[in-house]
Amino acid sequence: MTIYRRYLKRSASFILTLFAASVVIFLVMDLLPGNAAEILLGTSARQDTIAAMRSQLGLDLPAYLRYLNWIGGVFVGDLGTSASYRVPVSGLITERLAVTLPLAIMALAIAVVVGVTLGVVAGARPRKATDRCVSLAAQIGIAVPDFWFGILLILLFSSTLHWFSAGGFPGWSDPFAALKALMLPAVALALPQAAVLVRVTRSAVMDVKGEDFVRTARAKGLTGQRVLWRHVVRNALVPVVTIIGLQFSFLIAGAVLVENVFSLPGLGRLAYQSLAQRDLIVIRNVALFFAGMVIAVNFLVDLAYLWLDPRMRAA
Amino acid sequence: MTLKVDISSIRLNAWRQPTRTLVKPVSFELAQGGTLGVVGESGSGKSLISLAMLGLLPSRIKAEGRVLLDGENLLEMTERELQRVRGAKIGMIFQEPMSALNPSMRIGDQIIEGILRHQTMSYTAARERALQLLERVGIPDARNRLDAFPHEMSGGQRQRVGIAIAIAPGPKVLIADEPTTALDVTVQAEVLKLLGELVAEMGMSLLMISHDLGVIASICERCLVLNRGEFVEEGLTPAVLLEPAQEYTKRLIAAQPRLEETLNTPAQPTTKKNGSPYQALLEVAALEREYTDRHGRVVMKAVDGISFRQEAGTIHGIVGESGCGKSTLARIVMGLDKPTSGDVMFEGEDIFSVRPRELLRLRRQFQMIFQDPQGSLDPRQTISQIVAEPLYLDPDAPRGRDRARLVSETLQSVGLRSEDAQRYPHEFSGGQRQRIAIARAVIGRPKLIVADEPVSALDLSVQAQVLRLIMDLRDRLGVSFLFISHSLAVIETISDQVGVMYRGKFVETGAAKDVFHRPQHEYTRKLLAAEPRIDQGLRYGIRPKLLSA
Amino acid sequence: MMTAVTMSPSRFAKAPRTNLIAGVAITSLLVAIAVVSNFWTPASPSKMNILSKLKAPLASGLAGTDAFGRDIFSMLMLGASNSLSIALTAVFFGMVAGVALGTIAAAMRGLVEEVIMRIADVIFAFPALISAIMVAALIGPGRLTAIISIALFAVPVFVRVSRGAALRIRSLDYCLAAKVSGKNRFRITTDHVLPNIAGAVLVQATTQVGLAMIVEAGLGFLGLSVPPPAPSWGRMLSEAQTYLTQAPWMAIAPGLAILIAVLGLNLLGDGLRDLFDPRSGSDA
Repeated sequence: MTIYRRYLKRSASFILTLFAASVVIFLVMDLLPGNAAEILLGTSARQDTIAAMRSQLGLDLPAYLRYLNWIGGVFVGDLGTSASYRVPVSGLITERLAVTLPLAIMALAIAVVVGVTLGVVAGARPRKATDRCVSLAAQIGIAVPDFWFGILLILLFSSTLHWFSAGGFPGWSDPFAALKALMLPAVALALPQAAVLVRVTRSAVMDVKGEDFVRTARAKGLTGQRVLWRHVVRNALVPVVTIIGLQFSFLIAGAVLVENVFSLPGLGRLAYQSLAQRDLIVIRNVALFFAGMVIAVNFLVDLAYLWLDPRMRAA
Repeated sequence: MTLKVDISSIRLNAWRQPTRTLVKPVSFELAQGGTLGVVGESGSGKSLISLAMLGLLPSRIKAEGRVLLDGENLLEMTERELQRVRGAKIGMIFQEPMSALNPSMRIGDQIIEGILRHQTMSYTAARERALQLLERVGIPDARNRLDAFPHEMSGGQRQRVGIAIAIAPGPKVLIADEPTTALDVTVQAEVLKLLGELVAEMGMSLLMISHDLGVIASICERCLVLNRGEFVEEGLTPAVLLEPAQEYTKRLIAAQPRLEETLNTPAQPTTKKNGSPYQALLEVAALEREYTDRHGRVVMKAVDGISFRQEAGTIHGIVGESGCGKSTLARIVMGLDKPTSGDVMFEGEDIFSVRPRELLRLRRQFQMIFQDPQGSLDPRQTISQIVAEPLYLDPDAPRGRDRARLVSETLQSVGLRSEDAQRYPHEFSGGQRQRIAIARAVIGRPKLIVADEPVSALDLSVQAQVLRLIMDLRDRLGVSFLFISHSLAVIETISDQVGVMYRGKFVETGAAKDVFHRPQHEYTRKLLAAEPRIDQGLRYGIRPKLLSA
Repeated sequence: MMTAVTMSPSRFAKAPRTNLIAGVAITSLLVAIAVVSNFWTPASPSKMNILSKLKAPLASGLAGTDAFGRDIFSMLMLGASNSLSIALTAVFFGMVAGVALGTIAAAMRGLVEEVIMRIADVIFAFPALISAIMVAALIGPGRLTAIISIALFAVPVFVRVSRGAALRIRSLDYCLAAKVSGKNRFRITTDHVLPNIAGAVLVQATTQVGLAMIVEAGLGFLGLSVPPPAPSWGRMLSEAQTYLTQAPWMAIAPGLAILIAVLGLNLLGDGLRDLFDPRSGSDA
């Protein structure tokens, strides 16, 4: 009973946050000087044409109705028409998502696998040579801007070694080529994330190692490996998962930059190009999409706690 | 099986610091089926010795010497060899039942993994064995509890699980490091009884580490006294505890608050206000505090109809086990929590019906002392700022130089020096910190001080000094104390009047002497019987094996 | 009970203070360069000289020249000033707002806390670059846009850090003692909570300035931060992409500048944390 109540409460708070984020986006974009109709038609358009366009776009309605129009559209997949691309925004986003989502997932996977493994290795035997090397690398890795690292990767692997192309995306018709095109961007995106995870995992492992129950486990005569993985790492995952959730926001921000570095037709690049075109309808929806992704990931992290720490199921 | 311990030193090698010796030469033997207690205050090195025996010391601490188990020196074994000894030949039980179990692992699995490590059997067989063990250590409904998580059990049950884990692979030696310190006295008695039975049943030898002389007296045939890493004396327990040869042991025993032997000369009530002898300083009437869930259903009655009156200039003791509601009662008397019903009258004024401004004025008459001397002092304030804090309320409080003088006088009255005013809390020991907290409580000359477990976190010798200080303040300043503790001995030592609390109710009240010497209620008798005492001899099924050793 | 071992951290090895020393050294150098750049640079960072364009490091100046023949090292110096001033301003405002909200949440609990934390969640849902794009759509790119979006992004971080620390402090008996002495929530916050969380907040602020410099570089890369001709590390990187094969130093130098600056701030943050809380030793 209580556990379902917990899920229910988390879900309610998830939806509420999502709603609040959409209101914030709406308010910010609605405060804009000038309006979408003028931007669409250009400044030379006649007043009555603009007025007609305004009513066609629903811009003469009161604010709450305009908001409901937008959100109602989001639910049925009708996000309006892009001013600069002259195509439905929903199609635009779906198409771009096919690049951004795999990129984000690849980067996250690389960061988690590399970061957590190295963090456990370093934290298991602190102050030994391996730990010192890993910690130093992580310290530097955190300070590396992901998009600069992307440029360096291009410099090395494209310009010098010619192993990868410097950017662009061939589309998913050839999955191998598509993955290859996403490889360097994903690595660039993953580096600082992995470095953060190394540090968090390392210190969580060191903290848990000092707990009484680890001593109990050792007093049972368990092997070092079993104590480490079954008792230490298992309990060190809570802070690690927390950070994965928090870092996702950086990953999204990094994606905007890295897509630009590698000229990938993803959502981040779409947002950036729409800004240059002042294509507000696209910006509004992409912003909602990004915010939604961050909120959703943190919602999943919340649920993961319930699984990771049995104490939270009851409390 | 024989265990011969001959440790020449345990040293801490800190980075860029001189090596510190934590334990000096100490040696003892533990025969098959024998029970040995290691006694000492905090910092005596008693836990270090037990950890050293299993090679569990932190990496910067090294032990030298020999720990011979059947002729093999554990201190020279490799980690891999030690893993075959830990659990299988020597089992260990730790102090904190809360933190000693893995919070994210089901308790059955925590027992099973030890069995499977040392014995070849199937998981199903090991699970069956774990079930038997849980039943043996007295977990009710054991079959369902196998899949419970530690947080779903009470402290006593968790410690029973800890014992099941330790005995699961069938070790010949059991090391118990303060296994009952975190438990209530009645639970402690049950756990000690269980330990005693298991030792006899399985023919194990027991090495018990404790600061509590009573616990040692009840379960160990021999005992060894340590002080600051130095061996003091060793011998048969009754001999050591009743006729100590060494000065340190004598002091340790003298500091032990003992039932039936009170330091206290009862105070004369000083209530004469308004010529009415009937107006008490504090009068609590039919107090109730309920906790409800979101639907308004009562889930717990923390305080269930408590009434008592306290005369000015007395110490009123409230004793009870954890969860009995004594701390809730303290919070309500302090006005920090509101009762569901009932009154708290302070000098005839109901503190919950006065206006907020009036309450502020009344508050000046109240102060509080807390259990944890670490957390009760702000580390970023000077002692002077800490001690002067209650004057914040008082518009007539002295300022500037007068205030400094008042602070320094107050510090002196609790046995500290006036120079201490400019220092910070971390420069003081636990006992001194508690003195600072007491200085803060008395500086505004309150009439009542609520003391919630004020000596529980202190070592015995320090505890006795603080208790003496509290009685001294009562006599010198006429301040009354509402003294809350789980320890019968402490309450008897210090109280004029007592209330024995159980599940939110007083089961027995009266003058301290009467309650402790002629207990009427069954619960009081049970508490008294469970209290470990140094003059009681071996209990819990322990029979002396080697009286001549 | 491991009292002898765990109770007094001071007995244990003090972690070597290399972090702190290196952090202070690098950060002081960064601040010094940023200040000096406003009065003096080796060459004019804005003077174009097509004749000496795309010169390699040491062939012209310490870090070579860019496509317009501007001295890269001088641009980096002034870029440090821009980046650091934006990061410091933004983190300062984010910290003040975040700590205020976080300590209020911890003091009030209940509904107020819930509302504050949900607000923090909502702000947190907008990665700095996304909010920068929105703010830029509103008021155009520039220094103010960068400061607003970086500050907004810092707010929820400080709300969480300060609320967590404040709750821990408030659960301690000395806050109860203050309450018994008649102090209200506000006084307890100013007298006991703020002094005791200051260390944790300062540590977070140091790291946050480093993060802010990375984000500022990202904004500069997209042209959302200071407009030309003011030098910006991010924009230098964006311009360098065109000449990646001919003049790789144009891309390497600004990145190294960011790397060293952020590394210095992170080392300083780690060093400060070791100083305030010796138990969480984390020497690299």
